[in-house]
Amino acid sequence: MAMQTATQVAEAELSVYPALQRQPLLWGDSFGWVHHAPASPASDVAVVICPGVGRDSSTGYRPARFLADQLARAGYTAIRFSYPGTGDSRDPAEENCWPAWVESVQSAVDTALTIAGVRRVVLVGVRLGAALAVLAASLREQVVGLVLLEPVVRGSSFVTQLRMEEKISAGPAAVDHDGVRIHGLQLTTQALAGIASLDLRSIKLKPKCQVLVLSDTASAALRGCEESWSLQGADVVHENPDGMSAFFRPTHLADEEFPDVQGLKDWLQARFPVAGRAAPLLRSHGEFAVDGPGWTETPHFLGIDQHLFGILCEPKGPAVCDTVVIIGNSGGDPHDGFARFTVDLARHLARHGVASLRMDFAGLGDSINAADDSDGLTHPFTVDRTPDFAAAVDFVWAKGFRNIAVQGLCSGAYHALQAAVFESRVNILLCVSLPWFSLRYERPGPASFAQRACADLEARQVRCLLLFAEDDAGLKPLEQHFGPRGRELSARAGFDVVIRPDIDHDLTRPEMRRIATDQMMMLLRQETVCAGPSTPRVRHLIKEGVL
Amino acid sequence: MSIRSSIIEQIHRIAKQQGRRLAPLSDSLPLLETGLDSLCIAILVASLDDELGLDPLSSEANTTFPVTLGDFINVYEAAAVHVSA
Repeated sequence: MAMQTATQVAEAELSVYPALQRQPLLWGDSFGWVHHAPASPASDVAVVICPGVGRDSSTGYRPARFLADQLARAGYTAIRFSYPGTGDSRDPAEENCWPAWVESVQSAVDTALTIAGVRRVVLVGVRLGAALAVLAASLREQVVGLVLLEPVVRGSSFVTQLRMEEKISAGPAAVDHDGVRIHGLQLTTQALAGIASLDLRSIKLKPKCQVLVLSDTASAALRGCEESWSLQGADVVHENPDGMSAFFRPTHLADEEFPDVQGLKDWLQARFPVAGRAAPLLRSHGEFAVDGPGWTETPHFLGIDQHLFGILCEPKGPAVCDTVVIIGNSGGDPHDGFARFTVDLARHLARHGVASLRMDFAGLGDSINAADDSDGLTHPFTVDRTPDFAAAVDFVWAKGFRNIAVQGLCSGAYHALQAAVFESRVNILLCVSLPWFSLRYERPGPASFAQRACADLEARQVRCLLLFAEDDAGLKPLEQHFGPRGRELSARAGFDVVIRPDIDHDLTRPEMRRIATDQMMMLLRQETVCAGPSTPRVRHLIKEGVL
Repeated sequence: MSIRSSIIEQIHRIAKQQGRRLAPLSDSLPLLETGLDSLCIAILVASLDDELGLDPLSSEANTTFPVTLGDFINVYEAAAVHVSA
């Protein structure tokens, strides 16, 4: 299939940890990863992880990375990916994303077979991803096992969930569009109809398919499904998903725990034991770029240990601009951001001539902790992220960017502020919903960190945008230090304090994210000029053979 | 199991799964003050659809969303009566 030849692996940027390789992948419109342990005895079965969508995708991102690591270490090459129009993947050509999602699971199976050099695949699906996995299993002989974590059994009830959440989130404002727009998903009525048509009870699995259902409920619908598959000859086991709640918990909790995947591994090893064959070398196709209208993206590992991961999104076109925005995580959300805001922002910036690097802090998303690969420290505030920003600044500096902005939302804004203060190469700061200036309460006054930090930024002529919602809790510390509505700060050179009645703290709705994007773009336009012929950015691109 | 018991059981299950701390539940407690956020409530509605085969809140006729937990339970109990009638 054409898909197989299009599969690309970023060979040049392998993870530095020899026991385990994590490599970005691209097939079709899907961006994904392969996890592989070359030194381990290998199974002749590969595993594909089908994520949930919307909030399930964000909360389950880091747990899925951990699961893939654990499976790879146990000898199972594991693939995880984002459906078209979600995560780092390209948007599908058609507005109706449902057929593209269905197809992407099939393509993921093909990719796993090719890359791992195996003939059989087990699909692990989460929520709607579980339903998609079942659909793929019904069509493919090579899918010999299914692990279904809190599966969506009836697509219609999932559509009900999406519509209900949109209705509650909208509050008194009427939902004035067809389809559903929630958590960065844009589902047309056709896509919703596709999802609603799915009913796992009516899907026939291949005989002898091994099925593990991990669910803390045995609803009538799920029981019906399991009975139906058992009657068809499938081996169905239902277990309580103890220890798997990390897949669903909000990602802003302190030092997030990993899921307990031992039960899943035991089930897999009992049914598909590692054969002891030598692990195959991964097929590699060199570096790759993901292209879209006006933008091109490349995956990169950063930092001295190459333990950090980020995606550089650059404008496509002849004009060269030396401005780049480094975007950090908000809470524990992965680098695609809450409701995929970071991806949308990055691609919007690129279409307007500005590059960006959206990255994961150590231990979050696709980045790991440098010291021991333990990934234990993820607290959204107390972990110092200035080393992560410094690594990102080193990276973009080496690429010739000299106009460097740091951006973040909520805890990301807090870390961006710290980075701007401590990293002298940063000259633009973009904070959305900054919750506070320092973690400990400080008595307002000239000696406070808030005052000293802002004085330092002013002295360095750093341009700063502080954007708040009208009712944001972050206004309290702002006003404690800088007077009503932060006017003392607004009066200083280089500072824009903007308080908007039409956004909320998380930028929940698409129009709020557009407002925040426009505010940031306004400032960036003032600070951005095309790079001249002798600038470091142009020299870098000439050296790379791009110009 | 009664409709009320099913709803309370699902609320506890979803809160545990989603890492939410519940307030003491009572009929007069506003739904959005139970500790469940909009996603949890949406999952609750979908789960009750799977468990009870009832989806009274999605009908076009139901334009207002119940405010309190008691209102929410009443809507489902009324829907169950309507279905069995």
